[in-house]
Amino acid sequence: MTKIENKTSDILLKKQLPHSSYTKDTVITSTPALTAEYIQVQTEDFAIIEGRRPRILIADIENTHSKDTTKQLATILADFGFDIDIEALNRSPETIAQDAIDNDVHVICLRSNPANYAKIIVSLKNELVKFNAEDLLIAVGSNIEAKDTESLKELGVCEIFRDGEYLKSASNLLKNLENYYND
Amino acid sequence: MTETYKPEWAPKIDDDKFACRVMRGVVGGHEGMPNSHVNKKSALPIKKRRKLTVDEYVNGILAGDRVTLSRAITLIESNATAHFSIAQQVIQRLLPYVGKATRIGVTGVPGAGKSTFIESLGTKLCQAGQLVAVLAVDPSSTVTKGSILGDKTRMENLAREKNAFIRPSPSGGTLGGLTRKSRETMMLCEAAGYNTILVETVGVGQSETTVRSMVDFFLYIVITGAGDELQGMKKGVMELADAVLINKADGDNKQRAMITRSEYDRILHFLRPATKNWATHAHTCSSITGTGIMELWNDVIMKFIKQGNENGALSLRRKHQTLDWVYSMVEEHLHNLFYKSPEIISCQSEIEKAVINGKLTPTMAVQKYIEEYAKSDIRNHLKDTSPFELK
Repeated sequence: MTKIENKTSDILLKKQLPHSSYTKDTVITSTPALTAEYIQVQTEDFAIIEGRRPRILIADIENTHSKDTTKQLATILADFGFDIDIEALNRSPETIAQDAIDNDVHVICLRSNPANYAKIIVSLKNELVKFNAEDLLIAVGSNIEAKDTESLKELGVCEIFRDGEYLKSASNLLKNLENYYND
Repeated sequence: MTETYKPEWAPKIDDDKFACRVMRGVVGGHEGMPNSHVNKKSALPIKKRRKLTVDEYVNGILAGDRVTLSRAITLIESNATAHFSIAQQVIQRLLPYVGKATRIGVTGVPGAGKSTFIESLGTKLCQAGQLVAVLAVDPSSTVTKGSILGDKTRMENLAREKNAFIRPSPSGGTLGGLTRKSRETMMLCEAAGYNTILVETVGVGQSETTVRSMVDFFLYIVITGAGDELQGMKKGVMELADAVLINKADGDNKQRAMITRSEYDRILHFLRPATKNWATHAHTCSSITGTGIMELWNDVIMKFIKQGNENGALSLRRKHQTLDWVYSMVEEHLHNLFYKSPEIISCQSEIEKAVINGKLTPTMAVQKYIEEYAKSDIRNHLKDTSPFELK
């Protein structure tokens, strides 16, 4: 199959312009506004190339946040076009790793108290190594303070989903995923 | 350190009347100062996922390796053309090893207790030493195409069993309650050594019956208080089921479940049985207390399999199912041939635009598509879209 030239994100960009102002060969250079529609198109692009949608496993561990915010995060990400697996509450890193492998997800999104993350992520990574799956991305879904961001990133967290920044984070995550998976 | 400068908000007029000066603070970024690790590289080393070869897939699955199995399922479910031919090769190599497992389809309205039933039955089977694979399908959004897969969350005990493999899959816009590739996924699980395959469809209504053409035993789970007798007489799921199960027969609900059971039994008496020489009956169970689950397994499902093997009904059914598989693959290939041919891709946006602007009627648009497609050379792009070649 020849590579798909008219990627859907370009189609969307063309759609934003009035119909008469572009031809088939219109080249668009400006970056589009970060909207839910734009991320839907990006996930669609990912699905065209990868053959399936980006898939995230959301796992709650000793999370003192209300359970509703997990559901909220799951719904919003599903609306962006992700496939979302919801893990049962308070599973051990071993079980989470096993489920992530069985379901073959791209990303594990952990939600816990900020103090727990270092411990959980280290043991989760050890479990993933046992399955030979170090390539799984790990994201974190809580309001981490800016000063703690760096230390989490050093642990190997690729993206932090803070309340109200889901659009930006989802877009960054997709860029990360494209680097990992596409040739 | 004494270097000072005028603040940027100061009036632009250059005179000495503005006396305020600002001194620069200390710079962080070295040891002992805040933000000392700002300059460290925190980017992850990019480690790409290694692609497996056909041999690795086949050997891994036959050895019962879960990691390979789950990656093979991903490969099978993939829509990308690049994955298609390798997936077909894997299936081709595994075909001699499939067909030994008992395939059971479980369907029912949303909330009927399909997941809880599978959890209960699966756990008991695992403890009896069986290897159980569960394929749970949840619907994809038709608007945004995303999905929320929560069936596994409800199978907490089963997920802990070492003998169980649970794979949730998004339906991917396919109607009929399953994914496009459920049949192939089942085969992979069989080749990996699982001897009982439970397929859970999305919560369905009256006519989602695709699963019938893939399984040996078809179980329809209903609950009490869901419509009168006439609902059960309508054509659709009811006439295809090998057993009707009234779930949630516990506590206060038990009495009502018994009544519902006798009602369903009465209707089933009039219906033509889905399998020859097999009288479909209604049964009650409680997935929470576990009553009736093993009875259903031993007295109904196992008896059905035994009888089917003896009188040849099962092997006949599987032969018909292989034929179904052929035609569903033909449809898929035709779909791919059409939508992925360069001629269609190149004219698609123009035709869409013309239809939206009202310059083309829908019928004319279809005609134009077909004309464009007739111009194309099928041989040319056949090799891109399918593993087959014309001689």
